Amino acid sequence: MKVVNLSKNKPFVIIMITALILWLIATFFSPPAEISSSPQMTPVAIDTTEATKSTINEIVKRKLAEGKSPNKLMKEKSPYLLQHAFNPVDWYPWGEEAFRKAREEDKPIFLSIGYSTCYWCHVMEREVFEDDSIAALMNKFVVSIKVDREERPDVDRVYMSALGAMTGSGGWPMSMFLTPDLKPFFGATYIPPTTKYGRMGFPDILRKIHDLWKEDRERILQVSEQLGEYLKQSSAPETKNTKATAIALERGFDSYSRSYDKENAGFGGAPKFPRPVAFNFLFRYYKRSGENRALEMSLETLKRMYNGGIYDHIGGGFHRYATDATWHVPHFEKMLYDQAQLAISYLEAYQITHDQFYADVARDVLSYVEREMTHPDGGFYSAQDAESAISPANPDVKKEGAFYTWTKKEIDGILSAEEAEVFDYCFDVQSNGNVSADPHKEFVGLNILRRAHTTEEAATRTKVSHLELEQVMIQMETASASAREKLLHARSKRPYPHLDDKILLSWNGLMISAFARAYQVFDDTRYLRAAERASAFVLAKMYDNKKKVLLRRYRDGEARYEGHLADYAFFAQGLIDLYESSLDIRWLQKALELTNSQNDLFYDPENGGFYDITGVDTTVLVRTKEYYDGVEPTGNSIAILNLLRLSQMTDNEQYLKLAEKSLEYFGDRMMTTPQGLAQFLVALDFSLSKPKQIIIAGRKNDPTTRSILKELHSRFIPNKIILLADGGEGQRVLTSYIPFVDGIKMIGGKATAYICENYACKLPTSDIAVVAQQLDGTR
Amino acid sequence: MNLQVLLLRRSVIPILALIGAALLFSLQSDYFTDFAGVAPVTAGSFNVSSEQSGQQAIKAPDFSLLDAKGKTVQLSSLKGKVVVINFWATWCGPCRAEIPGFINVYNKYKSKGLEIIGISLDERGWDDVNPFVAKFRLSYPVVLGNWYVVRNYGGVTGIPTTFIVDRNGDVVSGHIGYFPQDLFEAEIKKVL
Repeated sequence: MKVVNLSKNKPFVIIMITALILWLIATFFSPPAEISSSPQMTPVAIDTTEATKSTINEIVKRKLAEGKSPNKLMKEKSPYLLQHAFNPVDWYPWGEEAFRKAREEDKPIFLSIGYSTCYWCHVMEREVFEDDSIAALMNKFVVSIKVDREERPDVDRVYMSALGAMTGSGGWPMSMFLTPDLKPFFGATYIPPTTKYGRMGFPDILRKIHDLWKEDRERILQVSEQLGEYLKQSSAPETKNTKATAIALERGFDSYSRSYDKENAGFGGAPKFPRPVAFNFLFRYYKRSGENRALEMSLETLKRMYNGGIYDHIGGGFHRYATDATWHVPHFEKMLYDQAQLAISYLEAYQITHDQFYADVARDVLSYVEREMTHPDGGFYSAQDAESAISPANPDVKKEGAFYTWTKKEIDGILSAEEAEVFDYCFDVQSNGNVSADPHKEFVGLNILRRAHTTEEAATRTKVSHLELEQVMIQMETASASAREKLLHARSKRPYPHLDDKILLSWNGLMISAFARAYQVFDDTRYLRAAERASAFVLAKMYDNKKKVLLRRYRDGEARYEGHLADYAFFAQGLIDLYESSLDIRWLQKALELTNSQNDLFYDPENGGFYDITGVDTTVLVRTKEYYDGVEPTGNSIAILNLLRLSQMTDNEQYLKLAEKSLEYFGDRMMTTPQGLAQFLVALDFSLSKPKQIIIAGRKNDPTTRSILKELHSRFIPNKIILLADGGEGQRVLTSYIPFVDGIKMIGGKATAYICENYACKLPTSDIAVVAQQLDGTR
Repeated sequence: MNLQVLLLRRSVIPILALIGAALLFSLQSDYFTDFAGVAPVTAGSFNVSSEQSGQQAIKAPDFSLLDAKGKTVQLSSLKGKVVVINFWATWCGPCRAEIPGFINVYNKYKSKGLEIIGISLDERGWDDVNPFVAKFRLSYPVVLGNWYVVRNYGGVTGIPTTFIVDRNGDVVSGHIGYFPQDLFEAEIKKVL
């Protein structure tokens, strides 16, 4: 279960509400905010007979064939909702039909929010929602609604905030009871099927709620009113607009420095979530201040993360988080947003250090996304599950990490003796299993692969002479690579973890950026194609060209839900990155078009900052401005950075004003709690810096143009914009934004770089050495 | 309005800084020991003041360049006037941004003895410069630069670069990067 810290809520309001709901809490003993136990699991031999692709359509097909009858979720497209389509619970999707039923039948609403890769959501489903007798009670006492938080982060945000106010923490699955007018009055996370150890089971809670609803309605309404009021207040907290200064950056660095885990790297203790926005900020802080520690902490964390079990050493890609401080034991789900952002972190680490290690990890992550997370038409899927079937014969009996873990016996049976020797040593494969941090005994006898030793260490161990060492290392690298191939092949025969194959716009935006940036660094057109195909996919299937509005989710032929701020901002960012990579003006034009829509739909002209949603859907009680850059950045931080970049690229003063006013809206928070606003700090850094404006006159594929770009992208220059004066359509369009681009021409028939910075321009040059000097600021 | 103007709005406007000559005038080459390498490396301004630096005034290197009509413009023939020497190019955003301000100041103070010479560093020369001069209605003389004048003025590596020469022919200040009208005018008023 994911537990989020909601301490950002104002304490005094919590006290006020707590007083009111104390009686409720007392009635229900203590609301379960933390999971203290989990079902015991014993290792089972893995059957590797037939490869199973595990998508929701196949599961639905199978259930229908088994003669199971579906509920109303059957009409939905979200894999998470479809997973619950065969529950005996009479689930409704979020919408008027359910709300009306609650009003007409005068029943409270039970709202359950989760997402497909959420382990404890599945546990609760198995234990509670698949239980016929509990389902019968639910159908009698409440109107039950299921929400996929990835489709509806807006709905999730409202009730998570309420849950935080009620319990001081939150997480998924989220279980909320609402009045028919959608105001919450009681909430919890995971609720067990039976009352045990002083914790109330779901049936008892249902009965209690029912009794209160019938006999003490006034109290419930009072609580719901108070919570409704609290939600309104907390969505628009009073802030004084403040101009944040470079001090916020220093404080941000200090704060990361203090929370740095010197022993295992990373920030804070277990559970350890990768937080790519932290790297984004720290790399830029290093660049700005020369503070080596900002770089070292980041590099070490990236190294440890890769070496740990949180990385999938066979198939590539990162699992969602590590349960232990050493990055060894993950929760095995893989999220698209992590792959996208971390690929960029490793790319930037490579640009800074030129250490091949970081380049290799970035490439490996991208290969994984290309192989397993890409829709045939180019969009990117959302996530892969942590648990998977142990045996294809028994698809409903699942186990966390079953797809990813190995016994030594299995590995040694698949690999040659020579391969096994190297592989087992390098990846810490042990006969009794290598998982020591295993409180629930889930991984007894199993190995979660981690990079314990380098091939160099393995080679040194063979005690060969110095001269032979390199030879042995090469042999070992080869053995290791072929071992990986064999294990990948063997693993592909296992039942796959469930793939959440819905295509979410915001996450696709992040992934487009990653592929676009990878093309810049590696100059490999397959990355450019991946970014272009995904962008074309979104524009073809998730964009209303007439209204200029985006839809948030695509799946199975259907695009639905109006886009949120994050959808517009992340996708526009992807398009800006794609323009700076492809130098095809059409992507920049689209980025501008979407940014204009974004400004119309979400900007708050009075106070600055952007609302997270349009406000059109009145079933979402409040219109927030999220400011916490968590595992994903906020819509606001990316929107602001986009505006700053675009204002430079197109000389748009209006964009700059919006960006500055929005930065001021969040300025006070940046100054006081900078660590929580890492991506805002990135935007602040851009706004406080003097970005380089790099305009290249030349044809896109001209060798000199390519060499200039190569020189440029071999460096980490975060605060810059790139434009191409191509002598054709691109230049014509750019000139319509910035008249002087008309005068940017090749000199002597050769592609020429024009570099300006800090209100002054270097003299144009086609000489790569001079370009290098100009970029490094030595000329 | 252009990129650089935008930039300017959200950062501290470069303030004329009195920087010691020793710090500034690290020579780029030994060609012009007579003119102590007026080549600040970063954007900003500096003053050359004999009282402040305790050094001898720096004579502005003479040049003789042609305007669009083929007429010679020679610095030494302008002795007695305050002369602004502005290195620029048509493709340069910050140059474009400051030129309207220069025109305003020029028209205001021309009768009081202000002269501005725009030295274009455009590679293609008049082909690019003439249409620009017509479009922006540059009222002060514009000439094409060459390697010698660039070298003599410290190897101008960034444009716009602007020097102010007093009535005695001494360089009193230099400025790299966009020169906002108010600051420019204030500088001019000091020496007129």
